[in-house]
Amino acid sequence: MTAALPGAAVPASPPIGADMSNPLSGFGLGMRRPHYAQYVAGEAPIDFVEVISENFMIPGGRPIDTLTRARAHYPVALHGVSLSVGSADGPRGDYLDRLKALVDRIEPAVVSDHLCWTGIGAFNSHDLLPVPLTDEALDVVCRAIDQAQTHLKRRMLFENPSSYIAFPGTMPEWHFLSEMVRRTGCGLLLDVNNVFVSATNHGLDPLAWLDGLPLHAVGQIHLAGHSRGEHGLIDTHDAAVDPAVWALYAETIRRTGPVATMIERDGNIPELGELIDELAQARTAEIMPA
Amino acid sequence: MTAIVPLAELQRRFCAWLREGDEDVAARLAETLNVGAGLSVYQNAYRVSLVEALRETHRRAALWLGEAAFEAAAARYIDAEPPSSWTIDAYGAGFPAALRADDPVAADLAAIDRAVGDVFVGDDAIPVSAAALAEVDWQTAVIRPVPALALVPIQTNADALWLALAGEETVPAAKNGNTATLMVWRQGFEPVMRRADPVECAILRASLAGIGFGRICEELADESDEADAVTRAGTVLGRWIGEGLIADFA
Repeated sequence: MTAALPGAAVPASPPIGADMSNPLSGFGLGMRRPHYAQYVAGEAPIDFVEVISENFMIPGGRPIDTLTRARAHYPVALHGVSLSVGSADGPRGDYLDRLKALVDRIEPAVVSDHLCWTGIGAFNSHDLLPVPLTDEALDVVCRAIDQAQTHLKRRMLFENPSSYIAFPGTMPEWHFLSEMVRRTGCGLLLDVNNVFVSATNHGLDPLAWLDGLPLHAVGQIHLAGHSRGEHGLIDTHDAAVDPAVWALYAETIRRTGPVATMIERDGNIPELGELIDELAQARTAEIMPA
Repeated sequence: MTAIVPLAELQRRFCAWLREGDEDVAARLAETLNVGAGLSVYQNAYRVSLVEALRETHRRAALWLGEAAFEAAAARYIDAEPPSSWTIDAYGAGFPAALRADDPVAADLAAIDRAVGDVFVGDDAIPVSAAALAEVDWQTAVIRPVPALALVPIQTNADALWLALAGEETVPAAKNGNTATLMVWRQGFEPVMRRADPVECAILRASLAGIGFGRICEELADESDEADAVTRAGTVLGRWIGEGLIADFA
């Protein structure tokens, strides 16, 4: 049973249409190792690829060469997992230097990370941990995003997380994200599967959750599969996109207009053709009348 | 709106729980934060991702140990060495050493795995060709090896085992007391390795320390006769050129 979201923030300013300054458009896929050869050859009929930034924040060797060659065929979105904007002690300076070096090397269309934290002090869990959505955390996150955007000299996108817990006495995620976007000028990487997973786990209506988000700032959309765990849905990226998520995606683009959309698949990775076929559903959804 | 606890304190508690994984600690944390059962998802993801990272980085060692022994070793290591590296790919620098007491072969395999991984993503360099040697002043020149190069001391025949495991070939019998130093580097994008003899190791370490080739030859001559030392050093140099081990001369 889900409930509506009282007080969900509806943006007052133009809510429809992606930020037109965003250079990414069309339909893409997460570039994963089993399909590297096809991306390097430019054989995948897609509009962009997304890679995990950290996998290429390295001195040299074949991975960098592979990405450089794929970059010759496709715009690249760099998607990080370790910026940790929610850490009380802020992002690591050496991390930002490494990311800047990669950005300068690849000249990506988009650079993104997550609304999360990964550790504090010397400890780095390497997991996307939940930010308690408080005023203090909002200050911390906005300061970190300002620092990162200044360091990289570019606007970034930040992804709404999947969440499995809710801290008491905190603001709704959509309100936190709206304020984050307003205060930093960053964009939103809207993960539609994460909206579905989080809303379901917290017993809320995914559509109402969606309507509370700053949809005017969406610069990219993620789709992915999830699985059911002992305590709810888990964002596992190891299965096809769920029909309910496809339905939520259709509702999303009905509100935003066309936005660069891609499928993430990190486990049980099928042949590239299967992912291309799955991506075709996104193309279809975009041209279907409401 | 105020936090239940200050952010830094909450995050320290959360990390302590991730590290310790103790059910009592989890229960206290859940009670303090009032966050419920979903907390376990993070504990599970934390440990699973670290085990998988160790496996990915130490593939041959994992094959050698087998599933149960590898997972047990990984769990012990995660408990003993909480992650602090900037990326998960760099986690486990001490894993080879942690394996040594129980299984020296696994420890050597893990060290090779790690060196091969480091070299695979090491800095690119175009090795010098033999034609470049004519321009070199050998009295003052310092050999600069390619940057993607590692020296790996081993105590077993893990190099032969590693190659057999990599090629899914018949794995030879393990032998302890087979001390050697491996050179691991890259030819193009492909990591390669072989055993280095003591003279090669001495020349390489001295070169990496910035000692000129002329002085290296003098030091080698102190250990044998001069003509033999120059011949040996020249042989090593020629081999390295052929193997793409030298980036340039300073």
